[in-house]
Amino acid sequence: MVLEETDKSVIEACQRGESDAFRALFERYKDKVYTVALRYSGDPHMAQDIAQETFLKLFASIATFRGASSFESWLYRLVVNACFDQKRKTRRIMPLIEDFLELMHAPGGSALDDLLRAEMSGHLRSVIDDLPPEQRILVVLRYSQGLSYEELADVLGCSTGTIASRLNRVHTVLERRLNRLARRKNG
Amino acid sequence: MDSPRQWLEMELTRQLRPVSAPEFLWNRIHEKHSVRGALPTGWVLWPVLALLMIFASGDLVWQMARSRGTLRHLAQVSGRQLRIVTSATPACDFWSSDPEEIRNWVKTKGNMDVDVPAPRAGNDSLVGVKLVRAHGKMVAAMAYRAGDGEGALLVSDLHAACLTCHVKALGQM
Repeated sequence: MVLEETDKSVIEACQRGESDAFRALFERYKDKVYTVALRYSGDPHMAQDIAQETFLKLFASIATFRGASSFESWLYRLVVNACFDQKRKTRRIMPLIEDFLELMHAPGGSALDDLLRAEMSGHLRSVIDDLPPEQRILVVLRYSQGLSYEELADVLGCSTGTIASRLNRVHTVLERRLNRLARRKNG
Repeated sequence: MDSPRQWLEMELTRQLRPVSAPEFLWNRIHEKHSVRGALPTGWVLWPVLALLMIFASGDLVWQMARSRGTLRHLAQVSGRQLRIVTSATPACDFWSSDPEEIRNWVKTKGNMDVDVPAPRAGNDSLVGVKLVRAHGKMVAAMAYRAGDGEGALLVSDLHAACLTCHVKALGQM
């Protein structure tokens, strides 16, 4: 996430209060911000609120940005905070996870696998929604933005080891449930 | 055939793929940005400062919160705003009897710094706080228990008011 020269000049123009620069900065980052907001919240209206809050905070505080960390990391931190501020939607968790894992475990030929996996895809969104906020934002930043472990560590303020362990935990939880279901079926 | 984990990672990448922001997003942000930029800071802070001064001057506000059957404004808060707070909010977002904890929570979640007053009478207590949006403005409703009744102190970035809530359960605050 190296600051490009164009970004640098736009940021400096924003810091001078030039209104066109705010628009340019918005255009440059709107899709990234909105994607994180939407993939985190799963709701377009909530995502718009999150994106709005992020940009308003960005515009209000850009004068304080001194480039100690990368601009994108700084921006992602604003998005993450705005996401956490949104109320977590309450949804039923366990039945969806059980359905998901049961489908994942189902044996069969490739045609049936394809069918089952198509069904699983439909459930995956619900599984993501039901992850705890810290795990959900990690998954969203990793898979929607393609951030590296180092970049994730910078945004979330922890070590790369912690990031690796947290990501592994998200996957492992699912695998553990899968094995439990397999044992139950075989036993 | 991919392993379950490989499939999961591919599917996560597919389902969380980037999307385009809606075209109208800039208008929303620009409108809010212009409004926030146009607000003089002094006018935003005055109602809160006035409220704190009243608290500093004695028990007046607390006594108001304890009085039943009345709705008393310290500053302008529209009836609709009050209805939103008193009828549409299911429970406190943050439960605590510690004014400092509530202050920190409101600061973090509501971006407002309010010197939360502690109840003075021994059997009265602070219960918690809820943040709601009324007309696009953040309002912090701080719940107090006073004897057998409950009261809520409302503070927004533009307005402050104290009212009594005629409810038995805080869940209806």
